Amino acid sequence: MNKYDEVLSENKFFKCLKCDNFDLFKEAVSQKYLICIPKASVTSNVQLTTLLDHILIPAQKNSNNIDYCTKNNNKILLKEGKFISKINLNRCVNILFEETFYEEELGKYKVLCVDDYISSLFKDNFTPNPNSLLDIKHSLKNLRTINDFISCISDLVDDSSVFDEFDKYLSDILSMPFSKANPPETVYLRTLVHKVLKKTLNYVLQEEIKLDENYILVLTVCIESYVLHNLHNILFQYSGLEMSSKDEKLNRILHSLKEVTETDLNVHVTNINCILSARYELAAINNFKSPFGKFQCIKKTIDSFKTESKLTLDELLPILVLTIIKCNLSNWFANLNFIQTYSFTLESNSEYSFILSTFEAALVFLFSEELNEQTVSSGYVLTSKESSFCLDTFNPRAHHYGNEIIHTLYDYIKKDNLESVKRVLEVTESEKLVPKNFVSQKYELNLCHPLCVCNECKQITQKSLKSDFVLDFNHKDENLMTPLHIAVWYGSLNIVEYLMSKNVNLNAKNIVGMTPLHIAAYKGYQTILLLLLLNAGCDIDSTDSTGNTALQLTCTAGHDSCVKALIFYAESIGYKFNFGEKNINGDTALHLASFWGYMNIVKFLLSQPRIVIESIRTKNLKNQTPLDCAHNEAVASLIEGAMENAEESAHTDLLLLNLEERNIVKIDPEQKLHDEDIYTNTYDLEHRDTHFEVRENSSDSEVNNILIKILNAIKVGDNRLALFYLDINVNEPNSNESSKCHPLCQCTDCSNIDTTTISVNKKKSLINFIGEENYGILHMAVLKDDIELCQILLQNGANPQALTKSERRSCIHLSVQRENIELLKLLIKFNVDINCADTMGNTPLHLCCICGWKEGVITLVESGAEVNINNKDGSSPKEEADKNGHFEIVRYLVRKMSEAHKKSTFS
Amino acid sequence: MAFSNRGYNFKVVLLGEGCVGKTSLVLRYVEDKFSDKHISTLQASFLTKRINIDGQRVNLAIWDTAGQERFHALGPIYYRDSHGAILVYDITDEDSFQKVKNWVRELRKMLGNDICLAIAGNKVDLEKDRHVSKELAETYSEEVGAFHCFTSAKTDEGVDEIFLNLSNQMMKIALEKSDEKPISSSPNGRNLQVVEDEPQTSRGCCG
Ligand SMILES: Nc1nc2c(ncn2[C@@H]2O[C@H](COP(=O)(O)OP(=O)(O)OP(=O)(O)O)[C@@H](O)[C@H]2O)c(=O)[nH]1
Ligand SMILES: [Mg+2]
Repeated sequence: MNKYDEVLSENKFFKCLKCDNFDLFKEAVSQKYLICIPKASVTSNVQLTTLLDHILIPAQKNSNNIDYCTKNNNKILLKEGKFISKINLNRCVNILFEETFYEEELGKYKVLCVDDYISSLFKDNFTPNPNSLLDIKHSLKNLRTINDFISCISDLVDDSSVFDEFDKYLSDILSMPFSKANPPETVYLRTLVHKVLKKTLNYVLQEEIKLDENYILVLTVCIESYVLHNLHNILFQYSGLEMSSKDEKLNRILHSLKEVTETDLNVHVTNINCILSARYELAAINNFKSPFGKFQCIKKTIDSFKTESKLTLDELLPILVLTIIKCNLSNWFANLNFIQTYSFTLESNSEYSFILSTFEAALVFLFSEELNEQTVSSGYVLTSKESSFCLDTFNPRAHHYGNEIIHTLYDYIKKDNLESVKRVLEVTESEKLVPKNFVSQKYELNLCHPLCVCNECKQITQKSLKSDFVLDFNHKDENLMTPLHIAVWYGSLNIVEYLMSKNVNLNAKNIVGMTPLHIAAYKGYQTILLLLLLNAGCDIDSTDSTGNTALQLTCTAGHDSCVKALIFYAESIGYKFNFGEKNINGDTALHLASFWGYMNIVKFLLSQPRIVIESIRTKNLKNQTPLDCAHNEAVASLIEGAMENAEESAHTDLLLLNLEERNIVKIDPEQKLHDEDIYTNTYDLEHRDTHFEVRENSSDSEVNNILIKILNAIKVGDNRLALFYLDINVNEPNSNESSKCHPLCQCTDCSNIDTTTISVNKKKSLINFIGEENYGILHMAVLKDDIELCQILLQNGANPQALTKSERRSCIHLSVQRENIELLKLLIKFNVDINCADTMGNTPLHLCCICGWKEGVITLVESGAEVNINNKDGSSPKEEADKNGHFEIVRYLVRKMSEAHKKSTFS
Repeated sequence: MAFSNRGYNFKVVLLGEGCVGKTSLVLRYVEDKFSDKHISTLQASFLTKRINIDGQRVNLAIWDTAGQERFHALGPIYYRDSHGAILVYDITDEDSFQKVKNWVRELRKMLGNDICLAIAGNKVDLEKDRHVSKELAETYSEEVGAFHCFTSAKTDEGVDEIFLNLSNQMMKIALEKSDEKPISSSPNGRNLQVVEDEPQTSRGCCG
């Protein structure tokens, strides 16, 4: 961007050639020889032989390089923008730029400006130009973080007090009292910033005029970025506010586009990793606080597409669109507005504006909903967080349905063509095309509980046995989608009604744990949602594999109408929602609506008296309350308002609520049901790659199906059911416990009176199976803090080393997440590798140090955990503790380390 | 700012239906390359070219765009602030010429006469398949005040000419404008002057 430039007509060398040696020049032009001119700063007095070395006659053209012979008969070659001497290949002269001249007298000719004399290539004492080294370090290309800016400024300005000076100017703005109610106008803010920038620049440049022009540009950009980095917190919030309604709409669109794939956009990517790496690059945009840093982030993203060599130019926009969809960020327009408003130095730079325009075009394209209309009808793919990480690997459209009939069936469902659907389903039923074995069939039946033997359920089971009824209406495809799922997916109302009349399983879960109700909520089909709810038997509270209920899903996707439908329906049947219900990231419905900036939903949720108490102070795994993750100031002030109101009327409300609660729902504010990863950023996409490999392992969807059931059983605390599925028999627990030496004792005496009897069984492999769900059975037991179950599982051959799929964490990691000391000790007893590292390179000890769980640190260190081990950030446990401000742990570790050190030196 | 101490800075945007050869024209002009496939590297989406016309340096920032219909609505994002536009059609494709007419209408409506237009009838090496009448195209161009040129990215015909001519036009307009307004006042006051007090080396109106 800050490429070298100079006015050639003022270059001494050029003048010398053109004026003093016109004949030579004329010959070169007429023969179309290449003319090279060393840059102005290296040219001194010029001799004729030197001139002759700068007129190049093309000799031969190979694939990559062109051979030239200078007019002075020296041989050189041109390779990748460099001239290289044929004698000494280590020497080179770089081309800085090319300029085409059109002159009346001479016509057209090309001149190359180079960074040194070509003739220097043939001299014995060749010294490379020292300037070029500096160029690399301070080229704008390599600057993006605040550290880059600071180090560059300190390199270019010899004045250590400059930052103090800057901070003085900055405090002009930082100390301004901006009122929240009456936000300042952008134009006003821009002028303010402009003034401060001018002051800082003038301060620096007074003294530094000796720098060459390119350095001044770099310096200016650095100072500007430094200033804006420091003002980011003030300014960005106003950009967010200004763009709030645009971002809100865009977020809704982005959620509806989760299943878009590169084929929808006509992008022919041969290497999907190109989008993956681009996505990591772009998803980090909020980590950069200066407009230039953000710009660099976008530029890097676009640059990373270039590694995909077969990509055509026209795919730049679609591929950027796709990357944006897959990023899961909530404030695109705010970012764009911030960059555009607060760019000064580079504002008119053409590359800068080209890249910003491309970014803007991608956002505007998404915003126009054009894509939405094109793709909604193109096919079904699972909507879930998970599926968005899979790009093409999980696209049912790419799979073969394997069965023509199903294919046609889906097509009819999509068209809401009831008659045809009936024909297909009723015919196949009579022909019994899809026989199913009894066991799996039993699981599909709509019983009160899979083990239930009440009269009604008995009847159902018997009937299903007798009638040889095949499960066409509940047929599951490879994504475990039933026809009802599909009908809801396409919003085909008639089909949904028809299927419901056939008593299909309303609560069937697909591969990502979504029921038809979930899909309706996520996709925003209010009528279908109500239809499902009104036909009793639909579980309003069930969660998908990311721990989201229908309410949370619809709050994520931003469908006001469905939020209202769910809440009004619940009210009408006297059911009390638990608004404190958290998903796997610890987010409640209010968190989600607040994060994605859906004003109306937030407003509506806050109008529910109980939500204020149940959810407004709840913290997610990033330790944020709904207020903390508010998308913008407007949302934040809504929540703040509600909190104030709540405090006023807290007294009376609490009284009322306590009365209510006693009768109906018990709310556990500290409920941490689905905690899976406390530390990783919820909307951060890193380390999801592992997903790819594992998906292939789980070929057997039937096994997976059972696994989901087991996990769910454990989730709701139904251990007996879980163990039944696993075929593990447990005698009446607790009966003999007192007679053991220790509850965990493994001595021979104790194992005789062990509380569990182990029965080897046919489904044993299930116990270590990790399918489509992120974790296996043992993981779930750990997450539920269920020591007893863990023990039973471990004694029945559960592998304590098994890793979760996405984070690759072991049970020991999870027990640390749960801060459950008993579990941790139990696992250590089972000889688990306590130094096992997850995808981030974090060992359990790292995790302890991050969250500051001292008891865990001590237990681990005492059990011999490695203290000198670095994670992928290059931090040791001690450094992590330090970073996170857990100084007690730091002190403990330092003490331990020095003790260990002493020991080793003494011995 | 169209004029800086490094000469003129012009933004040129290429518009036209898909497959008429916009990308090919740019690549031929800037890198002197041609490919038979509808494929190019991404680097070509934004290219710069320095030329010098009778002692006047002109820096061209050339923006290629995607011709696909679905992206049509994004046009304004690309052509705003342009000094010139090259509207490309394929002489073997009547429809693509109609598209050019639409673009002319839109550009004139949105940017008035500030933008210089050039119309390129590309692929003249396929003269035998011509479907757009030569006279028709030339009269139309004259009517709307656009320079017309037949080009071939394949045989490198007229490519240099069309960019050169457009540059000349843009320089003319820039000069006219700088007569009306002194150069120092930048368009909307949004450009930051690095050093306020430094005397501006005024190379503005000299040749
Ligand atoms: N014969 C011939 N073919 C050409 C010429 N210019 C371009 N083509 C071919 O036309 C096709 C399309 O060229 P592109 O430059 O990719 O077209 P485009 O206008 O950029 O298309 P979009 O980017 O889709 O809008 C390619 O196969 C080129 O090889 C030409 O002058 N003569
Ligand atoms: Mg193109």
